[in-house]
Amino acid sequence: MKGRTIKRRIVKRRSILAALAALTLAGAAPAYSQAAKPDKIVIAAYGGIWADSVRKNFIPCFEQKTGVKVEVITGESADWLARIRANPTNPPIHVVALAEADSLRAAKEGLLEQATVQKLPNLADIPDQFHKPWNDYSVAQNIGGFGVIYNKSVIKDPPATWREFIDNVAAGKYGKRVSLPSGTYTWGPEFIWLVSQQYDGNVDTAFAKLKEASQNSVVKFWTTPVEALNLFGTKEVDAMVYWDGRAISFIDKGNDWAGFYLPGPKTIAGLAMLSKVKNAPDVSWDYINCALAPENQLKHAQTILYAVPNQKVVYPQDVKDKLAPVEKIVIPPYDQIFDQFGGWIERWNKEIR
Amino acid sequence: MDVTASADGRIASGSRTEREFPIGLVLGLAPIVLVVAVFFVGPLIVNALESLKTPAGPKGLQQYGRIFGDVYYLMVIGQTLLFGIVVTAICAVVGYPMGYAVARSGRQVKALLILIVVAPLLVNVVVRSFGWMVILGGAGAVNAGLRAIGLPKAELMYNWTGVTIAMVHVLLPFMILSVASTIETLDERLEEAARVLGASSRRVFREITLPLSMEGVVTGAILVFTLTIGSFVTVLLLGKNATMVLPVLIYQQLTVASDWPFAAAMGVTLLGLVSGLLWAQAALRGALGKARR
Amino acid sequence: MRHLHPALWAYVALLSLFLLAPIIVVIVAGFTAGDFIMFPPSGFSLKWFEKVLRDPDFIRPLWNSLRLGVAATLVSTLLAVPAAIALIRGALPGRRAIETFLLAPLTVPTIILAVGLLFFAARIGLTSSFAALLAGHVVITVPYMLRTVLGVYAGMNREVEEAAQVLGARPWQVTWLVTLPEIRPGVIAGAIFSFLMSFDEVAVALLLTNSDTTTLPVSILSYLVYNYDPAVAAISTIQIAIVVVALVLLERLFGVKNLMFASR
Repeated sequence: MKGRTIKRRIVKRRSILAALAALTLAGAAPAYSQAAKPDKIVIAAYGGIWADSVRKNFIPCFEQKTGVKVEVITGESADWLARIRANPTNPPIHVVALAEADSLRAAKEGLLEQATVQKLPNLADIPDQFHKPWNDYSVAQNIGGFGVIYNKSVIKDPPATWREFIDNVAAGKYGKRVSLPSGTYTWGPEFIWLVSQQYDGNVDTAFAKLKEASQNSVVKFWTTPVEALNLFGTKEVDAMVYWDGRAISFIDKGNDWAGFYLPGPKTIAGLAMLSKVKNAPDVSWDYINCALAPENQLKHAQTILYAVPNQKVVYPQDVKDKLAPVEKIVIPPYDQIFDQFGGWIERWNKEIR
Repeated sequence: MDVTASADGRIASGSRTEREFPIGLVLGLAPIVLVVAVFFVGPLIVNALESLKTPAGPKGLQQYGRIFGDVYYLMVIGQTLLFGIVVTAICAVVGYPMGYAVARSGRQVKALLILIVVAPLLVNVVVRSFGWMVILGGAGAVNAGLRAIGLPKAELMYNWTGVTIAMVHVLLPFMILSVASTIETLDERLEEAARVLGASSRRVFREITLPLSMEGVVTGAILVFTLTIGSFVTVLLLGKNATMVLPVLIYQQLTVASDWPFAAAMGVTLLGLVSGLLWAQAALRGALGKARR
Repeated sequence: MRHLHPALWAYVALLSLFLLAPIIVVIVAGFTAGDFIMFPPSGFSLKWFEKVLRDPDFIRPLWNSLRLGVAATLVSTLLAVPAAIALIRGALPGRRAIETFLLAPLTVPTIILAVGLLFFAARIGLTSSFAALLAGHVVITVPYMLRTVLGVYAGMNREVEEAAQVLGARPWQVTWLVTLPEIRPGVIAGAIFSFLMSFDEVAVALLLTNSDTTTLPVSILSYLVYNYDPAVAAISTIQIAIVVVALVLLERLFGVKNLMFASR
């Protein structure tokens, strides 16, 4: 009697295991091939609202023009760089959105293709500062600016300049309720450069100030923008250096207790670059062209609330008020400082504790 | 526990089994060794080769020189290992009673307890970290409670305390289930016999249950230790720059600094240290086991 | 029902609270009407669940993760169980070395393995994303399986095996009818670990997935780079629900008695 029950159980278990095995093997994804005119291209985009904007504002233009489908892969600059480094002859991503430093690295390693006005007509409408520093291997598709988001009821009179702000933070004027970007964040080295610019370019002073800030004011140096907004939104901090687009969309969602501004005289840009990967299908240029077209750029700006580089774009007034004006933006001189980034990161680890 | 010892005099356990099927041994071990050799050693070789690259061009051990020649990195290695040991010790002490309870409870309670025990593993590590921020943060639940009863604010975030709490939390399931499954397989007649012969419950536990379940504690400890020193997300989000551990450095070097040779060297170093420790641990237990006889 | 000391039960209750705390926070946060993961949540709303269930960027990765987890666990089990048995019975001279070798993947931070595997797979021409992912996940989960089963088998009293041998059972019969049922608690515990490790694994998936094979942790992480809302809490709650249902089903089918008790 018991034997039969055991046998039945064993059979039941085996069939379930077999079903599971079949189900999992059925999911094995086939490798896709790289035909001359591909049926699809793969582009990289940040997740959430960015991917939404890309799908809504860039992809329809491309699909209509070429009939080629687009696959979006989300993630971050570092993983996209890793993937194209691993597979240079048959890259899994065709259009990448690398950060500025990673774009320089990728170009140096011969992983990207240089843009020309023939391949990329809309390049003509993009100001030089948004592609010349990368020797036309990468073009900016949107521009973010670092600013200060703060609790209006706690900080009544935020300082107008970066220097004043940093001096205040170093001295502990706002209590231990501040957050700044970490030197080890993707744009951390650029932030260090920005601080040094307030002190005549002296990097040692910058580190000294940041060290004081760490002791007197900073609850946590944020390493991802989401961590940052969580810190601010849950009111752990009263003042924080943060990106304009994300800050403004946060305030827009009904959080009018928060304010945001760009301290003077200028602030640094955070760019999302677009590059065509070498050995990717040529039709990828058409995608980048769509992304840089004025009408699509405007829609992109309206969706993600970041400024866009195409100088033909005319913003409606309500949007214009929210975006960083191009005159206030400065692009760090990557060719001069890029090699120092590694050293700065090491220094950050050792000195800012 | 060595194979030949368990029989205490009778048939050397298992000897007849493998004389009759040495082929079974090979078949049993071959597939796993093959898979690990190809898909683990292969990537490791890639990493080791990467770690020999230098900015100047010729291959060399320069990256390792950067690590071992700098007090800062040696300190980080030390912090990483110490962190692993502390988390492991806490998990062993905190988790053992729970493992015992899981093993010895009745069917329905056991099912419920297993669900509770694996709960920490059900949520993605980043989301879980946000959950901890909400609980441990300055404006979080714990501090709200402390404020309500008039106690001062506890600094539980962005330091070793918060990181340790979160790490212990997610690794307890490994310890608890290891201990539980070992205690499960213990022959309860041994305990009954001891009790019948007059030993108190405490003595039974101390001299029979505990020693025999040590294997489970060791398994749990190995899992917890290796997972602790390999993890970076929790430390990154819940710690600060002073709470630096090697995996966080590796992550940094792979992303913002993009110095892959350096990261690879650190990875190889970590692997070497832990393998060495595991080997030492196994040898020690083997030696202790032999000495006991 | 066994009688356990009341102090032990008090301890179990307290520890359970600790184990569940952040999970409860996340689940509750998914129901918030506000825009943050906070506790207590501001208002009640199902809007995040709606958003997530309608979003293919969350739902497809959820299925991918489940499939990958089951596949990795199955393969790991098939590899680890015979190996554990062979290692314990075989009394090989190099046993410790082999064991250390097979457990070594535990010691490498998955991020190093991920980068290495990315390049290695490209070099050997392994283009299938799923295959590379599976290989990576098997390498990561098989040590858990092995260590757990080894621990249980090594600590087990082997008299029953000897008895069966003496009574004339062939070696494979001993294995199939005596050893396997006896070590089942270890296999099940190892399988649970393996599945959960694969399900939560980030580094390898981050580098080896493509848009077809994206797993849930990757899509959550990508979402969290720039989006801060409780949608991730909602999808995490769904993830929890699925795994809990699976574990409950497992208990119904196999019975916890058989999961955790060696059959007697």
